[in-house]
Amino acid sequence: MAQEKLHRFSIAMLIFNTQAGVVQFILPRTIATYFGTNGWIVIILVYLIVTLNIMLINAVYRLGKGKSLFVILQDGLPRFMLIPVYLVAGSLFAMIGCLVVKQYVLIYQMIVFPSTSDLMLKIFVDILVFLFVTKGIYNMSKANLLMVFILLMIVPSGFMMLGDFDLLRLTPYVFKEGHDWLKGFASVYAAFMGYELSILLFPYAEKNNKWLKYVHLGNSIAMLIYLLVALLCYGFFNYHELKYLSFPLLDMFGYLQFPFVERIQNFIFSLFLFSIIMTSGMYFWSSQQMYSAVLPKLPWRLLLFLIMILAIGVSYIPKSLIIVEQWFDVLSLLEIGTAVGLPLLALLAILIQRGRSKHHAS
Amino acid sequence: MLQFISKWVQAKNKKSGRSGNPQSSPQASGPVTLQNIQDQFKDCSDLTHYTLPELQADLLFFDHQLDPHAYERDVLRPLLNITKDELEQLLRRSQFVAAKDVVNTVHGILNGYVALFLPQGVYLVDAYGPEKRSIEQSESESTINGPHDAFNESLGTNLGLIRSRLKSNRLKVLQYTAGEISKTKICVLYIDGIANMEYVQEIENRIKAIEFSSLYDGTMLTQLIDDFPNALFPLFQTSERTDIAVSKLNEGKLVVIEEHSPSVIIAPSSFFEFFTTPDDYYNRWVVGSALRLLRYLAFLITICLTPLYVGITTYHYEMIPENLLISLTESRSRVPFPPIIEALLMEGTIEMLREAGARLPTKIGQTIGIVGGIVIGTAAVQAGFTSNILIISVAMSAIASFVIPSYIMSGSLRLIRFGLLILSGMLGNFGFCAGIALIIIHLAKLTSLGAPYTIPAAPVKPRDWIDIFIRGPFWALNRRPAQSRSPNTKQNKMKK
Repeated sequence: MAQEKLHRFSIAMLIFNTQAGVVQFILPRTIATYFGTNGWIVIILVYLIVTLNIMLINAVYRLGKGKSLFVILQDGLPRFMLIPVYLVAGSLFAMIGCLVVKQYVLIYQMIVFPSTSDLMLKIFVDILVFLFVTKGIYNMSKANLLMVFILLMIVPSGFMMLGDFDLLRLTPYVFKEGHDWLKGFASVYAAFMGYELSILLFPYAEKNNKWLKYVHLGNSIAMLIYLLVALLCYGFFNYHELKYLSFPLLDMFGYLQFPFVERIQNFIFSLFLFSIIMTSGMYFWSSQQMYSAVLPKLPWRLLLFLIMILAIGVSYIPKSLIIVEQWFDVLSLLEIGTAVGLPLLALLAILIQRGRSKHHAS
Repeated sequence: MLQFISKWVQAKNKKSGRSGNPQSSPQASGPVTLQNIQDQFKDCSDLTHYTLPELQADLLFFDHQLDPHAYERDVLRPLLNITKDELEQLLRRSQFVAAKDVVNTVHGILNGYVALFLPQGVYLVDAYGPEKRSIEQSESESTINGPHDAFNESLGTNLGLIRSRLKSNRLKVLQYTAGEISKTKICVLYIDGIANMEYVQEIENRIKAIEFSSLYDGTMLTQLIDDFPNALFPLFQTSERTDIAVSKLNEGKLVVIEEHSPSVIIAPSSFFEFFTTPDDYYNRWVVGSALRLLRYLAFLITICLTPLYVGITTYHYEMIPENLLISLTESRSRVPFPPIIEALLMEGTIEMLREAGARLPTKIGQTIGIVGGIVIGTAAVQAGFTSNILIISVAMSAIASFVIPSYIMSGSLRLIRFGLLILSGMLGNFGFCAGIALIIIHLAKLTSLGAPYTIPAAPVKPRDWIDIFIRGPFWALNRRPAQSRSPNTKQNKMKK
């Protein structure tokens, strides 16, 4: 039977879960540090800019008439120019995919298993990611849906914090006592990263333009979740306190009490393994797609295995969470460049292709 | 996919040496004579040879395969009441079919035909009707409300039960044979205009690809035709209940009946269908929905409760509220083992008790229950072997596993629980979540007859949720499930 296309809603959830991840636990602190009072407003501003970037990707799909990114690029640009692009983008995706796991594992090691080797935990998660990606994008989207349903069940528990939420803690001031806005902006923008991978989904999506709206839907859900988390943290703690909490969301969940269980923060953090598998999986899948364009004859599963082995090797270099975050700062800037650069390159290729067609026609 | 399954089955057959023995098949060469056919059945002492010298006729048959009334009505009485001259006229009757060759004759005799050897030629008369069990209630799928008749081992009876409920010429029955030696009949049922013909074609291909010496039951057949032979979960729903088979046909699915099996196969099936029962539809919809949700809760308890207990008591004591922590610590203070060993011991004991109870006769089975109850309930705690709270957890998990209507699914879930237990014992909540992620990844790749196994959750089909996660009111159940890919999606209004 014919392989089904990715369902629109699956794409929305794919984008949302690729964007969301460990960043939710850090985001309130980042916002409080760089933007000060009522820093949560910046999430909406960044969301609007990200929306423009998604519209750019949509334009590639529409002008490219649904063709794969690789076909669009190869139709317009010479292969020798494209190979470095594929290699750089593929390596960048692989490093992000790997560091997402590394960051999660280091945090887990810090809060639960201080005496366990982070490498052991990381290899454990990497095996899960490998198994996940080898199922192919269609099955990844199905697994992601099931994972998202479980993750979204956490959202109602956030409303249980409303009892301790105080509007006074938000203060009437906006962006007071913030600094390094540009750096802060890059950090918040990095929290939205993941949408740019939708450019690789063209051949797997339904052959109509409707699914493009669902990329926006996924991005909007991510924004709403970030907003909810940031607002809750601003009202639960205050922005002064937020600046000194490593993982404000985890601390907030620490106050939750149920009749049979309390201090569920590390269970909640464990559940975010689903999100990590998805985020890392999508980046590794994208990396494999890029490398497959360079080495089309190599079996894709073997290629994925080699990419993951290399990435794991490189990720062994940063030993602490602070260094991982520093690496992420650099990689995020490069990723923002890729998110804008790849669609622009594709548009250039389309223009060149059209120019050639007109020339031949005349 | 089909090629893969076929190759796999062939490879398995080669490995295990279970492929059909070619010598067991009759030799096609030679004329169809009494001597030749008797040679084919050499050393078959149950073969009956009956002679009618006045007609120069010989009859060969297996009397245990025959319906005595049909034999008397269609074979014996007509032959005894005629003279040699009237024989030609008698043989024009439709029940006398001329045998083509040796293979045809041998297969006819094996399938309950009477072989009639005459100077004019050899004829076969169908008198099939072996002993069969009467229609009874299903023991494995009992119900309180609704019809109580269940399928039995007779193919004809099973077909009759379905035909009597679906009086439509659109109900089609395709018949195949599988098994090198057993030559088991398999019938595929579908409703024309409702079922997707791609599924019919697919299942036909899979049945034809079976290369196995003998088939014994429908549940065995499911494993020979399923998409993933190594899947942890059953990929096809099986049932002994007639109302389930009929309702699934109405939903646009296929029903496969195997001769000599009371379990019919429903294809394609979704993971969530294993948590539904016909009782849901015989109750008021609110009650039916509550029961269905209870079953999903039972599913979660079955796989999660004991692993979470182990994970929390091993690594995350801080998650237990103070009041509960005191009683838990008291309860665990005398236990010399870590929670994982304690849990594995108890879960293992429960599984052994369940297995013993299932195999033993009912009266002894009750004794096992009492002995097990005392051993697990009292003695194990007093001896400091285990803690009270773990017993509650293990017992709740066991009870919850029995709430799941499908015994095969329940078995899969119990096995998964052991995996989660070990992972939780190794890595606490992290191991537990990794285990759940593994299950999800495994589930996501599974398909049933090529259709997604996790539908309607993934891919999302919200319209089907009303008949999967709850049991909606009948006015709302007006569409066939998306998994059926029916050309006629409206359930209450068929196209003409």
